[in-house]
Amino acid sequence: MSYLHTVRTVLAKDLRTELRSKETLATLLLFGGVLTFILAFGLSNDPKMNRRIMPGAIWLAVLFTGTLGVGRTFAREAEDGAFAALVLSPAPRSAILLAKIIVNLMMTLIVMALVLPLMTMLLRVDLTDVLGPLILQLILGSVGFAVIGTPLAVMAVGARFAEVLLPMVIFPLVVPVLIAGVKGTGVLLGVTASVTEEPTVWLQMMLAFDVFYGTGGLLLFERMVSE
Amino acid sequence: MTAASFAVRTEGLGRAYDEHYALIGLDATFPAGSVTALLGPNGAGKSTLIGILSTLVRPTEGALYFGDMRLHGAKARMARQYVGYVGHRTMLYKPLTAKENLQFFGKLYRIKDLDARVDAALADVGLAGDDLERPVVGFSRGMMQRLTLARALLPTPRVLLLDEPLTGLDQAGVALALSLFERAKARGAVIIVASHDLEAIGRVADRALILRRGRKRHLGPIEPDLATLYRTSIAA
Repeated sequence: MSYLHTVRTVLAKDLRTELRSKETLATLLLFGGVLTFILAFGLSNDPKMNRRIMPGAIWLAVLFTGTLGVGRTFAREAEDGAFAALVLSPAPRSAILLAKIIVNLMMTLIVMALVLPLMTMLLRVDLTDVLGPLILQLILGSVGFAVIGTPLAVMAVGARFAEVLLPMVIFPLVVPVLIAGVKGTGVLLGVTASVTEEPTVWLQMMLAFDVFYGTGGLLLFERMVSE
Repeated sequence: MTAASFAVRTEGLGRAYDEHYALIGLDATFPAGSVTALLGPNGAGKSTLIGILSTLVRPTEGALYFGDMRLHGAKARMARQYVGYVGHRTMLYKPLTAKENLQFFGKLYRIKDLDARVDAALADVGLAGDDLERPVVGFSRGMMQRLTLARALLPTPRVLLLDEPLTGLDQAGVALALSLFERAKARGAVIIVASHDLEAIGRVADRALILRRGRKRHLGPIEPDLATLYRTSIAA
């Protein structure tokens, strides 16, 4: 009860703060939109060619908006030292992390919910026949990104050059999730030669990463926030 | 630890950062219902000690006790419910209102009758009326510091750790803060306050711990007065 109470409390506070300032969501949406427009203008007018590029474009958007989002996770906590008050409370620290992971996941999914239709429209690629499995891939991939990036973002609290440090730490760790995402989406769209033609294999791989990194982060977070 | 109040005790407490020791072998007892002025020049180890006592910083040597309970591992988390902490920064969420800030922290501490307690805490620090309904970002530094004190005192802590708690407060604010410390002392709290404002802290402190380069130079009563004691301890 105490655990879920903490998750709910931190989640409600973060969403209220974000709704009031809108700074993270607005930045992510702008970034996702600009990225899509650049891709659209830089690529060909041939939908067949664009379909081949679509897996990379989708997961590039997840990578960049996700990194930007997790970078903001503890930024507001760090602004005036509120993070210390947060971790000094008797609330379970892993519950605080779980709430932050959920916030990041929500942000990434909201952005992708707007970027994906925009991408489909501008690149003229029809995704209606694969929409269900693609959404499932995006959810699992975004979970993977959030469970890896969120605990690492705590390292950026008070760190110098945090904006540079965080992507350097996150990128190598999310590579397996991204490979599974790009390959899985490629198989789904019929544009990628893969060791398996079965997209569920890539889904299972992403799920395995999500569970592994998620459990590790929740278990280690208590030690990560103590000096 | 069932008693309403308890002493805080350290045994050989130390903290090293790589080769550098910020705190060395501190043996000290802070009795219940006392205000200890924690003094020392910059780099003396005051903030490190407060960090360790708050459980935010792990000691590399020695032990810390709240009453009979030695704090390490899961017990450190348990002990956090007893601690109120004011640091160098306000530790507030600026997009939220004063009330929302306190309600958030109150929920993390699972405080009962939270609305009434929040209203009382805000009234105690002299925040009322329109101030409660607007985001903290529009507050003056003094108002923020009052709210910071309210946040630290909201869970009625048995251990109150104050690192420069009078920052930004005007004369009325300082008097109010000191009266709140007196009230916490009267209900048996252990209060440790680090400040460079010796005159103000001298009005409430009944003991002093003076550190220099991580080592204890004095722990005990304040005689003849805080400024003289500090000067002689540091010079010795």
